Formats: sequence, structure tokens, C-alpha cells
Amino acid sequence: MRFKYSEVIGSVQSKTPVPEGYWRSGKERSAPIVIEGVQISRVTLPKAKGGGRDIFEGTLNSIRKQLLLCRDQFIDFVNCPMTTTDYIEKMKAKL
Amino acid sequence: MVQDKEEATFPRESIEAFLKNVQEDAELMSTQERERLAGSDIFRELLGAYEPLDESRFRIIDIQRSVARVPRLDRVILESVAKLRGEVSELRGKVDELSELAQNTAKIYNATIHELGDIQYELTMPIQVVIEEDEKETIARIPELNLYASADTDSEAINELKKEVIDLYKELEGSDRKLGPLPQSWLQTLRKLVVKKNG
Repeated sequence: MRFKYSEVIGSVQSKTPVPEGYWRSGKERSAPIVIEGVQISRVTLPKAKGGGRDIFEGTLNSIRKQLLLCRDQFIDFVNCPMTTTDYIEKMKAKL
Repeated sequence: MVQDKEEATFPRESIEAFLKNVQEDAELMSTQERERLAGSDIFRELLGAYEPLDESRFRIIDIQRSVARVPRLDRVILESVAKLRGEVSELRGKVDELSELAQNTAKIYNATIHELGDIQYELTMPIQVVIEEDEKETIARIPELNLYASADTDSEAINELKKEVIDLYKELEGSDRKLGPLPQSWLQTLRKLVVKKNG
């Protein structure tokens, strides 16, 4: 599993349902994941060491766990097949 | 008519002269031409004596069978070689994968946090932290709280993680939204671990 900082950060910011404005300020690196008014998890963005660089496997796994996704789901999440709607549907099952 | 008959009949002298000429030509024939004529006579003789070859009287059939077996054997060998080549290629891929994994495998160990580095918050008991360290990055994790922090060194990562613990505590304590099962369990754990100092 290899992804670049920019890919993961972009996917997390665009696909996770976090309260509005959380990422916009650029100050927050952590945000609650909220589905239908219920917080199901919390995600922390990695400190980007150059967007084009690969993220360390340990960091990737930590983000994956925060998103409550298995390895294959996480790959789909970053590679685009999984949309925000798909992600929300998966998380609803965990409520 | 008489004239025709005379024309059709060769005079004896002419025939004798012709034969004499042929004999003289034969005498003049080269040794090589004679040998060629003799060879062709032998060939005609052999041709007359020709009979089709009976293969069963010889070992030819056995040899043919042996020869026929060779291409089948070749195919079996080629198929085996192709299969082995595929397996070797697959193994080579796995070796490369494992080699890469070995190179990228992080050093993992535990550390303990005794305080949060904040004058407003303190720990009631030490927290076990997992450290994953590789050549480029170090992360500190608290699996129970699903928290992580990354930095260049372990002490920096631990320091960042302490801030994450406080942030999570503040966020959950101050949250007016409903909490799902995981955030609820985190909050329960944090309430046991973290105490906000008065003043």
C-alpha cells in the first residue's frame, strides 16, 4: 500500500463527512467524522513532508484505522472508486 | 510404280556401308561413353528386379516409434520448463516483495507517557504508547484511543501525541453532538486517565 501525502490528504478532506469549515482554516489537522449528527470517529491529517512523497506505512495504517476502513476499503477510498456517499453508507453500518 | 519400289528398297551396298560406318563409330566411342552405357544396363537390370521394401522385416518401425515419441517428450519437457519458469518468476516477485518489506519494516517498540506536558491537564496513570520508527519518520500511537502523531524522532512524536490526547479530551468533553460507540469509549477512557487541574 503506497500513497502520496497529497493523495491521502486530498481524499480525507474531500470524502470524510466532517463539520463544515473544519479543514477550511488550514489550522485544524484533526476533525470529528460525523454521520447523521453522530460522531463515529476522528481523523488526523498527516503533516505533509512534500505532497509528492510517499506516506510512511505506519501513518497510512493509523489514518486507515481512524477512518474505520479495512485495507482494501482504504485503497478504494484513496484511489477514488469509493465516493463520499459510499463511505457514509459503510459508516452508517457501524452506528 | 516401279520407280516407287526402287526408291523404297535400299540397295544392299548402302546397308553394308551404313553398318560399317556404325561399327567404325562404335570403335571411335570414348571409354567414358561405354561405361555410361554399361551403367545404364545395370540400372535397367536392377529396375527389373525391384520389389517393394517390407518394413516389418526390419527394425524401421521400432525406430519410427522411438522417433515419434521424441516430439511428445519435448512438449512435456517444454511444458515443465514453462511451468517452472512461471514459478521461479512468482518466487522472485515474492522475494523482491519481502526484501522491500524488510527494508521498509519499521522498528516497533513501546514507550510510556507519564505526563501530558500541559499545566492544565495531568494523567492519573501512565499511558502505554506504541512507537513505529523507520528511516524517514516516527509515529507514536495510542491504539485504545485511535490516536497517532508523526514526527522525525520518537520524542517529538510522543510530544505531538500528548497534544492529540488533550485535543481529543477537550473535543469530546465539550461536544454537544451525539457520540457513537467508539468516541463514547474514548471519552470513558479519557475521563479515567486525564484530570483537568483547577485554576
